[in-house]
Amino acid sequence: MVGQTSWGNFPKAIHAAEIPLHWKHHQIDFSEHRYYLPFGLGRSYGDSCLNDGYALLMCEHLNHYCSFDAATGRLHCEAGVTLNQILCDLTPLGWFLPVTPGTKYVTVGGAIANDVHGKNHHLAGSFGCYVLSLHLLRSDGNIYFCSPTNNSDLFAATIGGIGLTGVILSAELQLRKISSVFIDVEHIRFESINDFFSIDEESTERYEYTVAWLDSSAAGKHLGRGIYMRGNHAEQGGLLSNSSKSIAVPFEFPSFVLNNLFVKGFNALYYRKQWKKYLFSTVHYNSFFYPLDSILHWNRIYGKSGFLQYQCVVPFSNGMETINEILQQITASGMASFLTVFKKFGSIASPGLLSFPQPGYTLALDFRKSGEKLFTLFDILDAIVAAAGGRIYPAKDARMSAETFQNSYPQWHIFEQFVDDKFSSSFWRRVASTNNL
Amino acid sequence: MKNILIIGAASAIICDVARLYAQEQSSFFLVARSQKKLKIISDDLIVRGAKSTKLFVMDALEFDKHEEMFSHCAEFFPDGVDIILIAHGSLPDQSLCDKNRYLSMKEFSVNCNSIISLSHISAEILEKQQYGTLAVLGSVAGLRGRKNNYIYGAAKSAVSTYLSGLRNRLANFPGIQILTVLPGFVSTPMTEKIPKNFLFSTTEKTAKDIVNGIKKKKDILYTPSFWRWIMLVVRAIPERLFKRMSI
Repeated sequence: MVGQTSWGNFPKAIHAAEIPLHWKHHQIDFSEHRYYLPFGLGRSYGDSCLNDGYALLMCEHLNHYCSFDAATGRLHCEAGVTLNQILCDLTPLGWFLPVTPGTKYVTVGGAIANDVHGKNHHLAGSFGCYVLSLHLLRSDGNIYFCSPTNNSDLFAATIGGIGLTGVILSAELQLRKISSVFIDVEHIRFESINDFFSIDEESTERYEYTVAWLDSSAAGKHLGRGIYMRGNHAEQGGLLSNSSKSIAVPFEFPSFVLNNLFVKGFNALYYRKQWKKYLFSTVHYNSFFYPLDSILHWNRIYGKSGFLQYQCVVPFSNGMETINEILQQITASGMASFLTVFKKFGSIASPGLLSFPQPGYTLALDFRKSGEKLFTLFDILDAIVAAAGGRIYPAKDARMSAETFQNSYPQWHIFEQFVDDKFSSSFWRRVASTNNL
Repeated sequence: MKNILIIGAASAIICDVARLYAQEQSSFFLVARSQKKLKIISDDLIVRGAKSTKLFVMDALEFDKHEEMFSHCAEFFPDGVDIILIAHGSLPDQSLCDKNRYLSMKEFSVNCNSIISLSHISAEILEKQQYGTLAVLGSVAGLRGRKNNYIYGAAKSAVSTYLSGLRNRLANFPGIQILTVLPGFVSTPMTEKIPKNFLFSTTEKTAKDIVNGIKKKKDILYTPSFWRWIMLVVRAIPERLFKRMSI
């Protein structure tokens, strides 16, 4: 019995076994346990990377590169290779990740299974759009070569398929050319959520990366104020990266540290940190994309009880009103999100069947796990999101109801046909069970 | 830009050592039992910057094949070999060995005899070249016999003693280094079945230490270094007491 938690430290799970995979050609005995689930670095926040009571297939040692074509940027690598490793090894050659989430400490397999997105979604789509092909091991012992033209159904189900269609052994990715490891960044302070929409409007075409941080302490006419960040890859500065040192949070903070007052105070200060309305700077990609990665184990600041993320996407129609309503509900609840991130998704469709991104606005919030009140708030938000035709991100979820999931991902019935009999997760048993309805 | 021969190239620790040398555009002659694993490792090293690789399939117990392997290696590295890494090994289940002397002898052969044979030929090559490094993965388990792994320990102990003698013999060649690497517990496929504790190190850290040890021309390398002090204590325990202990 082995304990394993996800990044949010909630829920906790005890696994019957953690089976390490070292070589992609090794057979796995799928008869030992009822259910298996691939596990990368455990950076999903909720329970989509957990398999309580059953077995995990640990993929971090499947970390070999297979081939790289420096002329075309096509990389073939095993699924346990991390985004960090790719950046370290290939940025010096002038190639960058086509899409990157807010942490580089995820595996390629995890990035595909969650069809992760980044600050360039409005122009580039999700990670799955750059997966050229993959090798998938299923419990029948066969390895399936999947691409848009081979086993295309299984390919679509595996992208964003949260590890349920089998183990991704390796994948071929299309990287993006860069001429510098630096990013030209502009920070623009905005007074309200309406200002966000106007800045965003003029930015989306000209800036590859856009995202906004929202001040969760603000209310009333300042509701939804924050700092808009937009950037492009710089031309100058060269390719030799200067990876800065990281510090680590050594232990779990007592849970009173991150109380609502502190969170609001921190947010209010952060908003005022930027005195000027407009700031321009050129920064290394690490500080632009991965500010939190420089603090290893930052999840420990939430204490032993952990924290919950809430990330939803709502369609453009009535998007402004819906986001306003969500922010108002949070303010009314008296709870404060430590880090609130807001972004516009574009309309580039992912090949993934169960992918989270859809055209619209996405809002990500995180709250210390603080009892029933928080779950009640999340239920209220679910109802607002559902009414607007939006959905919740499985990679960050630990609590949405089966009903919410099934209604917002109506394609789940088609997806279900591709789920391997011997694969399941805590998340899947929670949301795909028809008994829970 | 070094010419490196690796015997036991599929060993998790040595894979990470090879990755560090690959970044310096080194060339590799890789030896292991499995062609498939050799191919995976070779592809990985090429992407990481290796200049070239050559693969050779061999079981360390095929003593007759040892010289053939070295001659292929010499062909691949016509201007000499800079580093020879011997990393193969197996950690047997001691309780099975306790019931089967043939298994004990076979395990001793894998972990000791084959290494002596390969080190013997390596030493001849280095002596002829008058430069180069021979680094062998030993283990702190060789420093004192314990009931849990004494066949493994005895083999590692013999290897350490052999290397110590070899180092003594070749001490007059300033360009030659004989390095005995003594890792503590490292999380690898070999130690998969052992419950992990705070003493366990990673293959990446161990690999960095080895590359450093080679660079600094060390003779004996404890990795992590605190094992020197742990083993000092373990070795100081009187046998009368030690034989009753369960550690």
